[in-house]
Amino acid sequence: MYCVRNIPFRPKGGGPHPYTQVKFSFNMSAQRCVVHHVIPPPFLLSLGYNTAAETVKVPPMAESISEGTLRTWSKQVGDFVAADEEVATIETDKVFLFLFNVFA
Amino acid sequence: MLTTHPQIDVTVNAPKAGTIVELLAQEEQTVTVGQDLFKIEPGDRTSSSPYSHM
Repeated sequence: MYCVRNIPFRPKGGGPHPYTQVKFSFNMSAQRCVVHHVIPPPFLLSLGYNTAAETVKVPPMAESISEGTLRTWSKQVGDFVAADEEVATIETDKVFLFLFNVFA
Repeated sequence: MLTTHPQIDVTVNAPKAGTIVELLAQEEQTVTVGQDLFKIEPGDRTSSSPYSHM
């Protein structure tokens, strides 16, 4: 006897993940499936072991520059990245930089 | 002072080790500071989650 995963535990559309992990077991005496929500202990969360996906935003590039052109993705979906490894390259606008130099 | 500055590339680095789960922008697309860029699921190299053995 085994449990079939038939409940959507990851919200569609990439919404916030209420639980980091779901574990299934089968209760023999009650003859029913049991769903365990496994939440990492706080000390693991504080070390960065949060398994919920987090969103990375476009970082501030320079004073007075608010946008740029995404040039290349160095990584694709499914790729592993080490901490501080390059993921994307954003090219800033030359004109903005020229003005920035004048006032520097 | 009036020399044209070459275009400066800004690299976006991963805040921590993990697996890329979603890219939220296309190449050649204009992106704004503060815009969501990609999603990463923290974890080590062998498994995307420290709880995946369960």
